[in-house]
Amino acid sequence: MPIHNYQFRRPGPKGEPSPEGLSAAGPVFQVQVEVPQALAAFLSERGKEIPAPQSGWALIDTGATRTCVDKDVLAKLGVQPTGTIKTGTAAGQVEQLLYPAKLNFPVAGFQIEFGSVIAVDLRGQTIAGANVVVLVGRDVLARCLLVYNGSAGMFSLAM
Amino acid sequence: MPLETESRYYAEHKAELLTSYEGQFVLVRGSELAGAFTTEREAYEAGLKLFGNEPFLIRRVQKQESESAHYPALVLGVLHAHT
Repeated sequence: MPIHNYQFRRPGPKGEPSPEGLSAAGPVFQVQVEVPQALAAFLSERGKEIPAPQSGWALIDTGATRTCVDKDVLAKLGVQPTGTIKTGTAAGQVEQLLYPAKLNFPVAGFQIEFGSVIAVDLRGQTIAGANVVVLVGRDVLARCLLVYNGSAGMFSLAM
Repeated sequence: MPLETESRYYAEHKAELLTSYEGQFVLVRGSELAGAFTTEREAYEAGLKLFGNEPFLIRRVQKQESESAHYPALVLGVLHAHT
């Protein structure tokens, strides 16, 4: 079972735990959004180039029912939509597009192939100069153990 | 918006799809049913083979339309709110 532990630390020689660091950034880890395996195979068989993975932060969002990926990232990968879903907004329900996607978490050491993720606009969501490109929702958390230790500035995700 | 035709087809034919394909994943392109599959991945692979990397609808056929999705922090603009 892959386990990802991350502790925020204050700068300086002591490297003390940083509850404020975790509080500011949230439970984030590096992610690469890739074309789904089936599409990679499809492109490869036809001698077409497979779009390069798109990197950024994945933010664990316990408020999100489903995992969401930035729509610009999906557009760069050339993945086409395979469904729609109604989503709740302040203005009522709107239809959003669903896309197949593969998420690779290189540091955490696991990959997830999604039948569908929700395309959302995550422009402007940045942490330490890098874009948040994925919100990890409860569809993933349903298979995980998440420990958020705010006072120690750390979180653990076991899958 | 992509998939409007496919979504309309699904809504209009849901009753008959339930009779034949309940629990399966149907593949719809335009106003035509292209197949029914056991898994979403099989449906996706079939869609790529039949239509290429183009929009097509994959939908699990079930009586109860399962879900709507919510991600309130993003919707409310407080994903990364700072003072």
